[in-house]
Amino acid sequence: MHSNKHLTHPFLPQTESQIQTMLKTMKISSIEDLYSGIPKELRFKGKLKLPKPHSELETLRKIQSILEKNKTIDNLNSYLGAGIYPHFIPSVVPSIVNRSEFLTSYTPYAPEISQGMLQGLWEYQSMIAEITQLDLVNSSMYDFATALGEAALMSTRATKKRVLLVPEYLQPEKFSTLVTYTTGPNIKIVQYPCNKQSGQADLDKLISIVERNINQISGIYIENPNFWGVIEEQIIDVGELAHTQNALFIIGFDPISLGLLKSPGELGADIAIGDGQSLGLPMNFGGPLLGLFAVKNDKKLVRSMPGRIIGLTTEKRSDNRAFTMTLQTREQHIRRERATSNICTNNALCALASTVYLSLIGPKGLKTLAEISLAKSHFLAQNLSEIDGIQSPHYSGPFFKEFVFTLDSPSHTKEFENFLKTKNIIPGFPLYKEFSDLNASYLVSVTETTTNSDIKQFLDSIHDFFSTSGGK
Amino acid sequence: MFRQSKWPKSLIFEKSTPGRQGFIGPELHPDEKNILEKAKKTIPENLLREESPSLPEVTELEVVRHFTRLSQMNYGVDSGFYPLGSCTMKYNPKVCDTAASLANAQNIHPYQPEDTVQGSLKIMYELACWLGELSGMSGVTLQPAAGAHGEYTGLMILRKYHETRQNLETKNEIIVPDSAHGTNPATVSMCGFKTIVIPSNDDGCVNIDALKASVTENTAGMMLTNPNTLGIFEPNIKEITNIIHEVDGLMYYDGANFNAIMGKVRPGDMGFDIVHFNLHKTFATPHGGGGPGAGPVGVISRLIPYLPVPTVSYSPSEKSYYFNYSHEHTIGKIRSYFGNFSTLLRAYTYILRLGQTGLTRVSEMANLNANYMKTQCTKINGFSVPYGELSSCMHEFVLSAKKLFKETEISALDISKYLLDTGLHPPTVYFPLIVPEALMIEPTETEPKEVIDTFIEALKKVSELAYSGRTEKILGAPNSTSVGRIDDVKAAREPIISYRMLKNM
Repeated sequence: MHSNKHLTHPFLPQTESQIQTMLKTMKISSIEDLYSGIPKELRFKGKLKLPKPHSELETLRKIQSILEKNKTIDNLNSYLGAGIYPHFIPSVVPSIVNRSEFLTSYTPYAPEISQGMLQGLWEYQSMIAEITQLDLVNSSMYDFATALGEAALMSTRATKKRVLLVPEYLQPEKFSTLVTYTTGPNIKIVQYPCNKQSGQADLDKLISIVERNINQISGIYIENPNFWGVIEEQIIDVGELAHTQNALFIIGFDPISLGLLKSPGELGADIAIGDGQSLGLPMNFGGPLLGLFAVKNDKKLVRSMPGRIIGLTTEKRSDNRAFTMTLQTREQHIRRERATSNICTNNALCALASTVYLSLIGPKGLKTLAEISLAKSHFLAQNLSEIDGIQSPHYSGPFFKEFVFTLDSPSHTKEFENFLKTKNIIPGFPLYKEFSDLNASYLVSVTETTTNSDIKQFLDSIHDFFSTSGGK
Repeated sequence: MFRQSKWPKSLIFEKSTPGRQGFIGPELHPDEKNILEKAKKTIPENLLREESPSLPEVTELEVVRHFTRLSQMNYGVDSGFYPLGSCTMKYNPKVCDTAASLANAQNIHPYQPEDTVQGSLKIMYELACWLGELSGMSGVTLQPAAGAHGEYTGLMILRKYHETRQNLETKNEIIVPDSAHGTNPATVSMCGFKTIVIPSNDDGCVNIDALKASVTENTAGMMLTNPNTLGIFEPNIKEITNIIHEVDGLMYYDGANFNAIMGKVRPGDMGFDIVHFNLHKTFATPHGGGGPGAGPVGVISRLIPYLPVPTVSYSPSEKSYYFNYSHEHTIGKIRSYFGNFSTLLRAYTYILRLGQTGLTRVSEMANLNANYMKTQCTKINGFSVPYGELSSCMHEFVLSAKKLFKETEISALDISKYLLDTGLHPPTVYFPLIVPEALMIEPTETEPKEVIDTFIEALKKVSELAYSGRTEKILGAPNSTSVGRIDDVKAAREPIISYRMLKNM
């Protein structure tokens, strides 16, 4: 009810005399009259329990003092990964992405004045197409987990079947998101196990699951490397199995690994999904991320893709190149309840960041980064294996930048973590909290940001734990 | 005069010169180097990539220049007026960017122990409280990544509510007005419900008779934007929510237009049960050319057990914040981790800057600007406001160029292209679908009267040109942008959506 007549604020331009002129033009006497359409009994009459207005200086002081209570990854010797990774971000990336012509623009509904963003997103689609060797890429999803949800829905749209096979060994929140996304359309999720030795898909068991669901399977999903960090050696067979069932073969990938490993396209994927956070985005406590979504070039598949797609075309009056959003008849603003997805706002700026990142690192850089992670993770795994009381790596299958190690004694996890905490070390993602058969295991991630002295400090501390703290 | 850069449209791929490099990785320690070849040999050869991906090979400067030029062929709120209806393209305060770029906001892994992330948790906890207060809701999840994702979360909560009461068999329909955003019916389908569309009244509001006729025991709920897409506040909102509640349906509030009502009226007090907010609209977080956004969802107290996990709680005894997973009927997860934290932090910063009085003033000024524009635009020959011409609108209004089109063949699309040449971003066109030749205009509170007047003058100019037959300037527009009108038909007929496809043609 209160009109704050004399409030001046740097974000609010109209002066008192301008306000009066405007009211006069409308032939009303006060701003309050603009609310006459709201029934009186509904009007909010109290005072909102919100902070008072702060100056910019006060605001920043307050926020800094709150955020000081965080401990950043830079001040920790952390081996956390499991979906989000502390990769180095070249200075060029934020410098470009924070250019306000990009930052403060909306979805490019007026393409003639938005060619910069449109071209940037088209180049994004092109780069993801190059690394995955799949032609069709949408201009982003929210994250890996929702990309998996959308891939599940797409496989049912494309095949008219309703059983999706996924590994038992998925990041728990990714699995939980998938369950949510498949609830509405009533898609059945069936999990297949891994071989307990190798940490890879158990092909025999997968085949028997397929046999129990003949003619019902919409897709088979597999990750490479998988959640244990292990490379799936029989992935090509899994793809062939999917195709014998006329099901879609869906591969989850780590973009950095594609500097070294065969691409989803070469492995036979119909859909490839992943997270682009590794490609130049800060971890940001888990968001925003970048859902990568690439599809094989197939007319039927492109029409059932979710998300925005940027196309290359020309001006009407010339052959000059121009970019525009295309194939929009799949989308919610046209197709409404029959749309392929409800997605509207996506993660375009994150996609642009990854485009700048991939432009910088190029084919050599991608390979270098993949090799650095590979070498460092193997260095760590091997040195851990030399410590009594630890099994490293837990699985025998080849691994890329992550691997699992296990304490021989499950009762020591709390002590182990507390001891390392005093040294500012986080030993990785505690798998035992989510997977009951891994009762003393950690998923460890190593990237180019992990220095050799970090690793040595980690190893020394573990030695100390086992020698001085009665770890055995 | 406005003139956008017109750099040659060469692709970054076409600038590639083999041998150039924009990045060098850190050197491996000799011990690590020694292990590399051995490590590679552990991977079967048939799974190793033989050919490197054809990414561009360019230097740092080439990358910087390429993308700087692209930015010069783009237009944001910082470039000029952006009255894109329903998108709330207000000024995005720089202080919010500063906050979001702090290292102790960015360099945090989501799986860090709770005691190392107390700052981030406090931000999330307080933001959720503030959004609850603004909307009259008792519980808030910050997880949804965008408005449509918030709708999805809200309808999954609604679904679980009926499922828990063992009513899902019958409760399978959601009512949506014909003026709704496309995301509403698309969300309804994703959540496994059937959309029941009801027509609007002549005044653009919900037709109560049509609503009553559509409500049955199958009605699971209704999605509504209030003020609606036409910028009109539903006067019968209490009756509408009562009708839905009588059949145990839930009312969903689409927060696209929340910028109109802060401090004035709250969805909770109107009878809504579930609300989403678009932080990239109302709370000024930058839209980034299409995202990321954030679409938090608020619910009434009896729906708190259904929220996605985790939410953030505070323990007074421990004096610390923690992730709360104990929501008895939780819908589970709707994404990974906890939300788009950097967007949440920007919104938090924005709310601090404005405070309680400022946010109320934001809504007042947004409405003032929209009504002033509406008054001035309806005076222009060829234009009208078919819905709500005589009453006041809220923060936006939908102008129709139906008369202009009929009399001069100049369409809403032509107008939008002409506006580009004046350096103004056009309004949303052809939406909502119930208004012919629609131009949906939302000036927001951050634009000065002078800028708004420039837009009004530009529309007057269109009308003059159209009625005097001097239409070549309109039909030939735009000329001042980096490209002229675009061949969308060709784009859809022969889709070229990656460089791989272009190379193979």
